[in-house]
Amino acid sequence: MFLLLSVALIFMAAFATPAIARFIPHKQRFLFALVPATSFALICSKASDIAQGLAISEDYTWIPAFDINLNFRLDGLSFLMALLITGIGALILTYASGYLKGYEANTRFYTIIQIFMAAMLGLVLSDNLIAMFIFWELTTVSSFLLVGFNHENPDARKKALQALIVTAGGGLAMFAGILLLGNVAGTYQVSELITHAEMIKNHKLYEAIVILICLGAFTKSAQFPFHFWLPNAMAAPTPVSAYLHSATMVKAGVFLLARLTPVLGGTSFWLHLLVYVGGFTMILAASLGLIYRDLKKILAYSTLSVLGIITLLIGMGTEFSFKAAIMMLFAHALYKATLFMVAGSIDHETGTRDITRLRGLRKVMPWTFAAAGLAALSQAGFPPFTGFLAKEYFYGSALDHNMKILLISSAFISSMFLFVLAFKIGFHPFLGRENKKIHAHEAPPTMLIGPVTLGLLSLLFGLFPGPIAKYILSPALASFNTTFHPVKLKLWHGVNTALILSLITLTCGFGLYKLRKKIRQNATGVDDKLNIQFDQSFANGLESFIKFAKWSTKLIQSGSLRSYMIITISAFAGLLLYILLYVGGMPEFYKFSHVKPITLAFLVALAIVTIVACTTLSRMTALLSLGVIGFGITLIYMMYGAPDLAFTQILVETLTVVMFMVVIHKLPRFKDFSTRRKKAFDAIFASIVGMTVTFLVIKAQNLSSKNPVSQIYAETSYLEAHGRNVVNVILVDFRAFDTFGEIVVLSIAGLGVSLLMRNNKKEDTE
Amino acid sequence: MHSVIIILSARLLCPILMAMAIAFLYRGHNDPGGGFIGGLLFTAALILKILAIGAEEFEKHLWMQPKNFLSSGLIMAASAGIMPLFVGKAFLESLWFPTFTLPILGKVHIGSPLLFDLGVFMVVIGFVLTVVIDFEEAA
Repeated sequence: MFLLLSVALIFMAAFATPAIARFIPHKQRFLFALVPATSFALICSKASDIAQGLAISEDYTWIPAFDINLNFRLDGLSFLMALLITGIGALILTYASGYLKGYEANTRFYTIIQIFMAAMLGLVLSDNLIAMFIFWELTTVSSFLLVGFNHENPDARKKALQALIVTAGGGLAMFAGILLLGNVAGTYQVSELITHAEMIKNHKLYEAIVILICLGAFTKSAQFPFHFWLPNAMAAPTPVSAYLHSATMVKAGVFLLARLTPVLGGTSFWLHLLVYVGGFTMILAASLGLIYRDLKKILAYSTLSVLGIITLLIGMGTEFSFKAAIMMLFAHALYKATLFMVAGSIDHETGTRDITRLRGLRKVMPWTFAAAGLAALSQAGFPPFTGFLAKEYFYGSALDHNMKILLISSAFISSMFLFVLAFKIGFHPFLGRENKKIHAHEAPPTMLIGPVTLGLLSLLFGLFPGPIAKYILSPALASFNTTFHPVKLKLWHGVNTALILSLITLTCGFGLYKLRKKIRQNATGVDDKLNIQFDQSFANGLESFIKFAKWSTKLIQSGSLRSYMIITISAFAGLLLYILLYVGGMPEFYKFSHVKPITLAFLVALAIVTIVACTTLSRMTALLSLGVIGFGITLIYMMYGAPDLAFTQILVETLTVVMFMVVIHKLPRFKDFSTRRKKAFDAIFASIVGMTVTFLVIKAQNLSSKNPVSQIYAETSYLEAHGRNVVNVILVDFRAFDTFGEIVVLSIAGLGVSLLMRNNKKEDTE
Repeated sequence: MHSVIIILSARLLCPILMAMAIAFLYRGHNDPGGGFIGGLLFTAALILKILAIGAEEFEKHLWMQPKNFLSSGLIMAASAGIMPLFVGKAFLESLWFPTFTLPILGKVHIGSPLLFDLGVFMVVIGFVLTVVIDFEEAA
């Protein structure tokens, strides 16, 4: 119950927020942090089980017929993610209460971010891939709302839309991948898929599955060439970036890769795909970060780089690299959330994020500086921070791998650049001479708790890595390897190659940091070119898609009623014709002697009226003849004993005639537009369609099923559904689901008609 | 331009038609009738009224927006579907009250299908009303 509870609790809080927020004054809104804190405590309470390598499962059936269930599973990997989501979530909500104090719409913020939080928690806890996908899409949608939080700003809207299109598009590809995977293996449960891993890897669809699923993961985790949405998503308010773009949403992609490593990993296809994409992203992003002046842009690029590192490490596929990936994910979440919050505080208290204007803040913002410094040292990889441990493992696993040279050199470059990026944020704004033009002051306590806590944790967990090894690293490693064995984590490994590499990185990084101004000045313009190219090609793609949509709409929806009718009816008649041929061609005709004379006379009369309706030049005559035909059909129903149909027909006919009458005298005078040729075509077309339908109906009479479904309905109608009117029982009971769909369609059609009419009216009055 | 004949006949016929519509709705489960037919009959009555007094005047008398007919109908049908879930039955599986006897109606056997049918009834009314009123007003 407790896993469901920890997710449901946040969902419930989110939905209750709009109602209760009005009773909570803005100053006390940090109380919202209690919700994720409770979930955090719930999940923490299972720490001892997790540390022994156990996994906790909870199963709730949802749609068992499609093998879609809510299977929550807390294992090492999801434990780590769940702690980050709820723990950092609580700190972020506290921080946001300070940051958003002035915002009118901050209730909306709390609601959406809690929905996001719950969805993210559901995502990492789901063992069923379909359920996971649903949570996944929920995070996409809620993050769209969060990035576009300042929705009055068209730029924010545009960037939110871009993020949505990229990630949701990838999500759809991933969905296709999941369906393929489910078809191949016969299950959507990750824990069961693992047992079929060999079969899946040898299946001919394996590459397709990997590519589709990786599309989802790469778009979500902003890997090259989908990286461009993340820097643009910095249009979000900073608490959103601090949460979504450091510890949670962007980690969903790498989480998925990690989760599916035991199922899909270990092949050379997987290895190369992940290593090259991850490796390229990590270097590209880290170097691009060097040329920016905006604090949040720098953070975004360094996040991209780390996501690249994690993808690369997962792809490498050795136990060493898995350890490194886990440590990197953990260390990054701690320091990056801190740095984002620091950037937000600086922005909030000084009014700018431009690092060329920010200098010497250490005196006015000492606590913020402390948090920033700790986090930056961790990102730069200084001992004894967690970031150092992560980097040691990174180098260690690169040295261990058979793609050694390539890996080490790229690891070295990206680590060095990350060092520079860390210092640009953590130290540059605080050191040096004060900028007199900026009037800064220290952030309020609510905005200090988060960064200071996380900054200290970056240091503490590095100094005392014991608990991390026990509760996080060993269990999470078991999620990769499927077997559990305790792992030790030490700060000091003695002097080895990794350590020496680390020291060289630090030295070179520091040298590069000193040159930061020159680099930026020489490279000005490069960033714009690069980024605009990606933005531009995205915009072009979008535009041509819209053009295509317009073109195809024009093609199909020409606006001519005649062509609509021809298309619709010929599609319908084509299907009927196919069925007619499928069941064996021409029907046997009745002998006319079988038909009662009165019926025959009646039919002839109907046919005459039909001809009148087609040929008359008066609308009124046509309308009335149509009415006569309708009532004639009613009589036929009566003759053959179908009172319900007759009833319906008579009412529909009445209403149709009345509705026509309402509008008919408002129509312009009748004019004959059609040429002779068109008329001839219409006549032939109509005859063919009419004949097809007639033949099919007669054919249906010829074919007699041994067990017609009507018999079953008739037999069970009273016994099971307590109704003697079989037609109605079918409508409201046996096939009620169909009826439900129909009335939904009817309602939508009604609203559609109403909208069209209202629009016309508006245009008229304007 | 409203004809006195139509106004008077509407005044007389509308209540009768409405009562008939409701009777058809109720008896639908065992005899010809049901939500769709009942709904059409009910709207026939309303349209008669519209023809008599015009759409604008009619809307003033209407106690509920046509669109709310649609939504309330959908809610009824959906709740008839969801209720069985609470007693462990499938979506839209029928639930029945025990039979009881009322003076005029005789034996009464009511269950979730009737609620569902009422939903259909409402949606049909809502649909025709929405369309007719808009037509009438636009024209």
